[in-house]
Amino acid sequence: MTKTEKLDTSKLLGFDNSGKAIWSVADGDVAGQDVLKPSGATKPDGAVKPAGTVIK
Amino acid sequence: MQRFADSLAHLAEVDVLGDKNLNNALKELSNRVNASEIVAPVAFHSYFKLLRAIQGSGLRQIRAAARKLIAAGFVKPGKIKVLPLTPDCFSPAEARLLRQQFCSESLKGQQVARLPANKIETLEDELANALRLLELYAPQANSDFRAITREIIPVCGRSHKGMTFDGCSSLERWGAILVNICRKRTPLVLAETLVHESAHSLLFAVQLDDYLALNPSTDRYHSPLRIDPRPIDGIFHATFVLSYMIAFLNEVVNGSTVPDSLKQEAVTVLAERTKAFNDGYDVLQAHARFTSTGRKIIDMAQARVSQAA
Repeated sequence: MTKTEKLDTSKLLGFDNSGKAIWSVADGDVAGQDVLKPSGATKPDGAVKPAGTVIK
Repeated sequence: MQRFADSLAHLAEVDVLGDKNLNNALKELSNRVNASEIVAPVAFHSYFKLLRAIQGSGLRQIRAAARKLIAAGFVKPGKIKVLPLTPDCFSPAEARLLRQQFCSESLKGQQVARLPANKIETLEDELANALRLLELYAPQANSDFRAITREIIPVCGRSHKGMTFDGCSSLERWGAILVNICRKRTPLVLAETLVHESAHSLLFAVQLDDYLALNPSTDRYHSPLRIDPRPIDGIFHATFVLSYMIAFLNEVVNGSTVPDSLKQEAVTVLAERTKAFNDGYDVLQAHARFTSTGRKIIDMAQARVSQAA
């Protein structure tokens, strides 16, 4: 039995019901990418907008 | 934290480390988490690093990751550490690790810069003013914020392709808030940034057991908070955190001891955030494939906003 097969992923934080690691599922392979939430984007001219502002 | 404690206990039980002493140390860590002790945010990076090592590395790396997790340590309840990105607080190796914990396609490592000396002198006052505002004028928001936040990490944000960042939170350093303190903000807007990021952390914890929405991450929609189109997960997050921002601002607007000028600023910002929430909520209603938990959470967010209206 390999080290991964020993694990019951349902008992681990960070896996879904199918055993898929859900902390690293999106935006590529680097863990945590999809859970990053930079905010308060700027206009392309670099002018800073307040946090949470809608920039159309 | 129960799930985290159970995970640690399971890792020890199945002897994935092949080392009795390390297994015992993991069990001890699990017991302490179960007893409501609070692990330092960096423990989560070590935990996920351990899982990655188990999935694809040799025993040496697995044990090294486990040792880091065991050594991460604990924080005092209610205590928030301020750790500015300076050579005094972060060695070069620790600064590299910090960037790994927070950076993504959205936030590049070079955007997270050390603080200039003139900013180090003023950041304590700026943070203290924002934290005092929360404590004095928004007791519920302050309580929610303090239940989650263990660390504030002021950094100097640098522009990348015309974009800069306001704040950032990450599952890999759960309970920590990276804040771009080089942005000019009023105390109200800085307090709002802190509330915003702590709400993201709250949702990260929920998302570990549920996707909340099942849309593919490749599908992009208009975001209520960001200039770039985002996946539904990002819209969900934005809408959820806006509900906490709105609840915070509403407390300030309705506080009996709040100075008029602050109240007026809060009224203005509240109107903007309410519009943004409604934008995000409409996108979700139109496009999100909610799970049952996701539906409940967004309904609760909507109720939070309705109460503030």
